[in-house]
Amino acid sequence: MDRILEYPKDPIVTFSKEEELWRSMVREFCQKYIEPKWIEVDIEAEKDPMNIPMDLIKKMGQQGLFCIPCSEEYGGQGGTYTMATIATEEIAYADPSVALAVYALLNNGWPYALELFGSHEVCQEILPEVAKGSAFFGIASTEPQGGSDVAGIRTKAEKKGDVYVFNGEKAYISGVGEVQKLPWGGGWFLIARTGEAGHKGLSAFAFLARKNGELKDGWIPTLYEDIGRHGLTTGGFIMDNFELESKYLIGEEGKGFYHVMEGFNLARIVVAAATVGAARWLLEKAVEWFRSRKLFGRNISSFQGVSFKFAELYARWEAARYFVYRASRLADKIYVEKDPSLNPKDLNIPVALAKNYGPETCVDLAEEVMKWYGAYAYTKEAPIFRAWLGPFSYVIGAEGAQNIMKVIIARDLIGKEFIK
Amino acid sequence: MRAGEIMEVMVYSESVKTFRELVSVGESLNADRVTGVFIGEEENAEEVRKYCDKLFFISSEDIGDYSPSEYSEAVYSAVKSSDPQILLVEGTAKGVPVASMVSVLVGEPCATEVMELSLSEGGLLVKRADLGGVAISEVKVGKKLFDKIASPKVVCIKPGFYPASDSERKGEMVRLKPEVKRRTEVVEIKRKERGEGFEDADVIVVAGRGVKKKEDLGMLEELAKLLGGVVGVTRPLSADLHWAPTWIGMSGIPVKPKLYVGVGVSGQIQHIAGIRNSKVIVAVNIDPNAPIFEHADYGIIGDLYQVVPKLIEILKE
Amino acid sequence: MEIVVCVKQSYDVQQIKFDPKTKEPILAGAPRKMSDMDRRALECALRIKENVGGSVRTVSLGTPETRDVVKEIYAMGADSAYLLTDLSLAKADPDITARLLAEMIKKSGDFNLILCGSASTDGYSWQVPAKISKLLNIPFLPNAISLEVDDTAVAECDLGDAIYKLKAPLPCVVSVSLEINEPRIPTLSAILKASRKQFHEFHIKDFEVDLTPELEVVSTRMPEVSRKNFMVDVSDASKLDEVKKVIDELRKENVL
Repeated sequence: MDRILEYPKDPIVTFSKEEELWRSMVREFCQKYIEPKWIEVDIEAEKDPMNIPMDLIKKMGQQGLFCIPCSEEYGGQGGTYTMATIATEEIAYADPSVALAVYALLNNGWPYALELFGSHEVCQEILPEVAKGSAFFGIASTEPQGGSDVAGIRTKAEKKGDVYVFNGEKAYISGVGEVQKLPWGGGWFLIARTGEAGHKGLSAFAFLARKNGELKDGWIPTLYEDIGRHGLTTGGFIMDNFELESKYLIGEEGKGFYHVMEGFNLARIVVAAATVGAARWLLEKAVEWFRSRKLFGRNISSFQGVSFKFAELYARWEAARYFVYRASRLADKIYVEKDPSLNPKDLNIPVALAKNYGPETCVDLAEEVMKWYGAYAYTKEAPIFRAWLGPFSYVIGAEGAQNIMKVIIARDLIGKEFIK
Repeated sequence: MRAGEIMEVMVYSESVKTFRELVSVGESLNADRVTGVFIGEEENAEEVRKYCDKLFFISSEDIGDYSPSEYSEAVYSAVKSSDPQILLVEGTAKGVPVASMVSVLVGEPCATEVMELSLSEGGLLVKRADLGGVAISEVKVGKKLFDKIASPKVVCIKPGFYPASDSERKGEMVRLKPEVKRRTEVVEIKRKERGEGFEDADVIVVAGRGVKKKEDLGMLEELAKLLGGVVGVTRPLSADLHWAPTWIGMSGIPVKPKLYVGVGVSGQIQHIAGIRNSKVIVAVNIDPNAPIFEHADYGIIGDLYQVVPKLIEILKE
Repeated sequence: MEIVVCVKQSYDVQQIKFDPKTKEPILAGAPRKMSDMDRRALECALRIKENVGGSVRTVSLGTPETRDVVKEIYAMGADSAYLLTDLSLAKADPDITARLLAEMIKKSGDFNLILCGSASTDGYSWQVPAKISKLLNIPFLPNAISLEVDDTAVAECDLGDAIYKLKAPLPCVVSVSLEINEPRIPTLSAILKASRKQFHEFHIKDFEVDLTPELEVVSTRMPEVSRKNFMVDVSDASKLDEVKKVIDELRKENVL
């Protein structure tokens, strides 16, 4: 499987024969269908964000790459969270702009969160469509005034009979285009205020902007022009007296904050996995370059300024990978094995470590690789900049700002009262 | 019988050219007699009989068209009518199944993908392609050469590795009519367009995946013409894209031209194994890491759509 | 339709490393996978079963690592897998392999059709399917690029100079080429279900086959690669004229 780099032996991050078979099957699929097309996807979607790679999404659905940890009852694969993590890493390795990897990770993490906290009826309605690749289900938490301050969310959801009426605005949300274009539609795990101020007044909803192919009234979307990761749309939407049946409430009123925090923990693991996968691509591109490029009559990697930097970045990559699989295995212990000695909050630090470390490692590596390649990397003909701008969205702060990760680590270790 | 002495080598092939190559192999072993089996039309049998001391001819009118099981019974009947120590068979898609089956009928080992055959310490030693063509193995075939009557070791020799024999021999011919129960029906035979005679070509230009459109082969034809050669393709361009009936490579047609030029060929192991014996290998590829460069005498890193016209321009001067 | 597929776990030839001094392959610990043509044979069998019903079983032999291939066999969808593993089988030649497989096929139940890859990715002998058919005394259709089965088997066989459309009564043996299909990539739920399935295991004592190979490998080496490696880099189009250097060298070598 490893053609360019022979990765060192590892008795710590090990995989079962099943996990290895799964990884090799995902890799086969990705190298066959995704790798030949990722650049084209990025180019086409840059021209028009609505150039969504529909047939790739459909193929990925048929291959069972979405809703991996969800029950087979709902069209999922009945796998562990680690299996979803492995798949995300491999998809990103084939598509280092991470557009398809992010599509996949969102449609693994948030459907799983829906299954953990949502009702059976709602799961039965939405999850099979997401699994097939006909519907999108991501996260809608961020608002124009801020993302990190989840407790400060302003979107209101007022209960009127058996609907909730939504008024407000969400911004910087992935999937706004996909929800409009995919055959069934879809929506988001959305947080809105049903009660008092502060985190206790928030509730979570399976917010379907479009279902059975029909757009609902009162949902007004806009699409943004991202600087990278074009294959996945980003946008915002206004809710103007948008009506959602009350059955789509996830869990209980007032518990939304807690549910979404658990959801973020899960999603951040696969986010970090995507950046580790993209970073693997970058490492191999670097080694390919080192083995062929000469200057001043010697191999470029004979300059220790270059080879030492490579060694440092490789070390960070391995560390990032450790954080990812340590977190995914812990998530399995908590959610799949339901180990009674553990609780969801135990994921906070391990996940924060993974999400903080992975994207920065990937982006730093991308920058160095571009410097090693030189002028060629500055032209659009070279694909490397796509693997720089895509993962950069996670350094900027998608799915959790980098500084918030540090707040979580410091707070949980030192004590909440000592960091105020 | 003395160890190391071959009394009789029998050869089986459906083509005149390969038949003559197999006779050469027999000669290289210093066999006393070279006998042959030919299944086909009488006029071709008349053509091959002069290369062997005795030819056993089975007419396709009697036995019908090729089907491995029935043809293996026919070859077996010829083996039983004589006493070969070695049966040499064409190492082709048609020859190998027949050889495999005859080896079961005579209860002797069969070696395939063989490029070279020799005697050593009273036994047979072959050099064959192994590990999918990546490596070459030396293999001892069978324990002793001369233990039973009409019990030959069977060896399938790949075409193109031995010269076609010129020697004139006795040319006795016997027509056999073995009783063969036919179970497999040949419904239809679709001949592929005649390949360009790659086995004999001095110069071959091969198109690989880097060549984007079938029409682009025209540019390669022009280059081949200027070099005095022919154009072939790698496996995916033939088997998947159907740009040509067959391909250059270990599993297709292995070649050994004086000059091989791979254009947009990355250098998959099986392809390399099939061109390894070329005298001079030139490769054109945009990827500096393409595996073919390691196996090339001359490597040109660049866009073939620029390099090939440039080569044509320079050659025309 | 009872279909038997012969499946070999081969060395992943693309991944084999060679000792730089001796040029010998380093086989200890080398990665293995289901032989490429066998995978297509299994895919072919599964599609036939999906069409006409019946069952698909596999027979495999080799050293104990061969057990690893069962997961993939079941993940693709075979109904049952039969295995024979023993250290002595590391040296099995095509004759021993064919005899043992033929016995395993008979011992494992009735059959209407036997499918094999034309050759294994590593051994590459191209002999086993033909030998099995002769041992079982049934017809053989070689190197099929297409196959249709009802009460006969009709295959388009790529035989080098021509495509032969051959028709044989059942039961028969058909060997398949890489071109016959694109095998499915199992989903995770198929892989997970597969790991819970048991397979049948034979013991070497169950067979009366002489295990001494008649083909003995004396040595295996990567052939010497001693090429000039004279390189010219014209990826920068302004340097295109440098290809002339190659033409000049070729003229010197008298190949032009």
